[in-house]
Amino acid sequence: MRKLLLVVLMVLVAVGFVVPSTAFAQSSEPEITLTWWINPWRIRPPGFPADESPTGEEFPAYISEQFMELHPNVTVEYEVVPNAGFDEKVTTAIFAGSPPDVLRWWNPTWVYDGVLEPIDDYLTDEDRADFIDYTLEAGYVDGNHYMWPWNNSNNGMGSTLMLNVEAFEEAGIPLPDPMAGWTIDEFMDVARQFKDAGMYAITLAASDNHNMLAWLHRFGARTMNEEATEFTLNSPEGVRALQLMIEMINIEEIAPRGAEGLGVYDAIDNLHQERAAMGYGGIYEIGRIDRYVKEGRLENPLEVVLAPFPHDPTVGPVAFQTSGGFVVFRQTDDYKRDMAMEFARFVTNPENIALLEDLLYITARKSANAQLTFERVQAYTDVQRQVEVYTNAIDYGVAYFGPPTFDWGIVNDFFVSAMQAAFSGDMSAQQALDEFVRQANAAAFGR
Amino acid sequence: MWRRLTRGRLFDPDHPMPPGPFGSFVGLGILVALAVAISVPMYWMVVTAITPTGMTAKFPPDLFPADPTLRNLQEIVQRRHFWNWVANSTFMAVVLTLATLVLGSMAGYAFAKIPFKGSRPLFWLHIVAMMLPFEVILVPLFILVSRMGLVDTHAGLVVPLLASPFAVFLMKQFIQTLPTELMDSARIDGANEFQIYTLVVLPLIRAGLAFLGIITFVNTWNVFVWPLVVTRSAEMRTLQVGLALVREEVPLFYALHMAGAVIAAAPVILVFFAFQRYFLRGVTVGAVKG
Amino acid sequence: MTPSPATATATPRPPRTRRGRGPRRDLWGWFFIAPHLFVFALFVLLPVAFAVVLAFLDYRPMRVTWVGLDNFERVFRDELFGRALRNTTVFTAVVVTFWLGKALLIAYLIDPLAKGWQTFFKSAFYLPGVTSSIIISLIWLWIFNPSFGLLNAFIALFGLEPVSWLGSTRTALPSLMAMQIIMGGGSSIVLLSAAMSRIPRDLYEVAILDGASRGRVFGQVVVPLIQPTLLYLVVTGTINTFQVFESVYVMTQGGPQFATTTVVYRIYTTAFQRFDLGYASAQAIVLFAITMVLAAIQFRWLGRDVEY
Repeated sequence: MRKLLLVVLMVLVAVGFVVPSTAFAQSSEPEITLTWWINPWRIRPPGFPADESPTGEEFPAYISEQFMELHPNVTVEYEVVPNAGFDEKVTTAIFAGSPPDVLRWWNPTWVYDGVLEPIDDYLTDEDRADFIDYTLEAGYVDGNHYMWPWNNSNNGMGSTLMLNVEAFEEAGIPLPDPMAGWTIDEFMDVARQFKDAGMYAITLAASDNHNMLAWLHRFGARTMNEEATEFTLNSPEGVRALQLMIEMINIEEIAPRGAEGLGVYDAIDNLHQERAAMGYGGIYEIGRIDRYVKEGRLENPLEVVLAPFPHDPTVGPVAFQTSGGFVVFRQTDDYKRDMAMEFARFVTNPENIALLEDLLYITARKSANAQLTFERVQAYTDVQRQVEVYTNAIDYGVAYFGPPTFDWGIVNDFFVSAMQAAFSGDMSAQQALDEFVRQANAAAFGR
Repeated sequence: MWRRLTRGRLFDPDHPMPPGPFGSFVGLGILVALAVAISVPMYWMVVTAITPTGMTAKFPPDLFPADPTLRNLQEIVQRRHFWNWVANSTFMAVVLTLATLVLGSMAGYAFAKIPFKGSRPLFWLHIVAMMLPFEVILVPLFILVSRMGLVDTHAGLVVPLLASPFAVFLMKQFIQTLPTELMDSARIDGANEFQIYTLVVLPLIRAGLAFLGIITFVNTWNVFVWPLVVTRSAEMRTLQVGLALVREEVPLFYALHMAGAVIAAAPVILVFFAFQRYFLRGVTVGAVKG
Repeated sequence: MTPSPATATATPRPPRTRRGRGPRRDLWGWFFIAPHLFVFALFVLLPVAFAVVLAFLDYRPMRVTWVGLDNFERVFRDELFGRALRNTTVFTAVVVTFWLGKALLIAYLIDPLAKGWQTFFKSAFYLPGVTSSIIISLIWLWIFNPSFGLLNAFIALFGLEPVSWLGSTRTALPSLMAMQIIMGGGSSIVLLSAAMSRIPRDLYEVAILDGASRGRVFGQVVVPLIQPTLLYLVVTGTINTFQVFESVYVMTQGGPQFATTTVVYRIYTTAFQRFDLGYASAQAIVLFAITMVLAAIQFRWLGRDVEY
């Protein structure tokens, strides 16, 4: 009898040791699932054949798999959400309380609605030093950072022009010095020579807001005032810039008519089809030429170089500063929050952020940028040189769309409308910008 | 003389008022002109789908491509998950069409021929429900569906679209025109309402059912926003959502966009031709004799 | 049994038989309606009710506040909404009239044709409608393209200058209207044609014997007998056209200068770009009220019971 009791006691003790320890093991490595959404980014992950076109699913699949290898207790599910319908999908998910854990997008309204997690506690000193200042600023609201920076700048729209080298040669026009830049007068000279040669110099497109704002900033105008409490685009400098743009079309005839009905893809197309000698864009746009040629959509592989937007001597160069990244939605579980942040850091760590090179984007991390070589477009241009030109240009970047705390989407329609009015002649430059400022102030600040 | 020539060949021999030669000329002229106007975009869609890449931005456009190719169509079909997309769309379309036909015709019959208490206000509720645009119902509907745990499920795709006020309205209008005497004589003969519904009403509204069936099938096949919002995994996507991703993968690549459109339209066209006999012919109310 | 001549008034109901009257009938009514009603109440009425309630709230993910009629007040002060309302009204009035007129004309022209030709034409008019409206919008976007679109290529044949169809405030909305009128109506033609072919031949003969002209036959025989179908098409056509959204979303994004901004497009930007669900609902209710009035008028005009 006593033997039996002893055995039972021993069993109980053994169980008593085993159970709590598995419970501990459980709580230190709970099984969780992370979901993340991203719109289509056609980045080739390592190992993907260089001559095939990615669909946009490969990159998130790769990142998810890599993270799961590092953290076997975490299941990572990704979803590629098309741009068409993106708004509806994300908004609906947020309101239903089931947003993804991590999302590649930014909207300050989400901070005000309290649905984002601040990332400051998770940024290491290394991170803070490595991320370029203004990329972290892009997600800074009311004392906290909410966005893990990823891509620095964009495809170049609003920062640099692309020049068709052959067109310049055939017209006998020397290329401008891209590091020193060129003044607006110099630009107009070149443009008039192209007009004489029977080509447009450039395309202006009303709904192409990056480049529209780029031109509007030429004489020193700013979209909003310092405190971001009102719109200032209708300043004399802004009106002067818009007036110049109208004249470029109607009087100088260096840009095609019908600008009120054109968009950014028309500008791209005009450059590709050699209807215009210049277009817009940075390294990414050079990559577009490469892509189109490989897909058979472009017959003539253009040789291009970059140049900054022409500047006014009294104002100096102005380009576009922006960056995008990943946000983490509110979590109720501590461990899940930790892992979601860990994931966001993983996508933007130096090794993975460098994958952006495949799309010819500059990254938000200094360490990664130092390693970029952009081999793929060597055939079209002297890439190292263009990277220099581009990074130099964006040093003068300003935020065209207001501070990161402002949701430009509120006023975008008014802006495009003003551009359309000015180009169609329905309103004068002053009237169009006045109307924009009036409507934007009302919509954004209730005034 | 005109009538002898055209009767039977061009015109219906039984029709009481066929037009004379001038009227026919003008009438057919109008018909042909309008038919061409509506067909031109479709023609371009098909032609672009078989155009080799790079040739689509030519101006002025070619009437027919120099060397047509099926490669674009191939590329779409070989897309990963393509057959999932097709399966999901088919599931949605078939289930919703059958459900709408059954539920809609039953409800339509009730509204049209059974004067039950509360039928008028209930019917007006249906009309009213059609008047709020889907955009404002989207979020409440999604919240409801997600609380029910139906996100990213086949049920979730289908269930919110099962009750169609349009279908009920249409069925009511169709059934309304049937003479009530038919039903009454059946009732006198001892049939219950359900028998009347299946044996008397349904056969008489065959054309209406075919019509409702086809337009429900088409609408469901083409719906975009709801499947986008309610699905989370790549395997659950429908064809329209999948093709949207393909279009964004290759902006400006019209040939591929149109290839996708042609592939999406093909099954529906097949369904149309399979059932067009019921769909296009009117049904004569000949059963009322005696 | 000879079909009774069509009259515009409801035929008197036959006297109720002893069996199956009153409550028993009601029960059957509810039986037939029950399955549909269950789904309808849960997945249509409930979200609609929620959407209506939203109009009185400031609905945020973390915070919901009751604001009473504030949202409605905003709607009346919103000049852009007023613009959208004007655009949408013009669009609906023109499109419904012409598209329905076209469908009626085509159905009428098709009616005397032999069966084979009827099938041919009806298929030709219906088939384009099976493509998704997104694709149709994309195709027409290309047709309207100012640089290499089909329409400008066509008018160039007559020596005309290219026009920026969707880029000019004068032509943008009319372009969208034209597209809708040309491409729409396939299923209406089929429906009208079916309704017309169901008109008993005797009625035609009676009218012809009376010496009626073609126009009078159309007005006195054809139209009254297809009234239920016409009512359905007019009401649903108006409701649907008033809610025009997709072509604007794909082709013009409300521009140029808000010339093509429609009510539902404003609702979309309010709900999904401004995340202001309450205000969007208020706008939707104003839209609904207007459609309701229109539908009521149409029902009064075309809704009298017709039997053969």
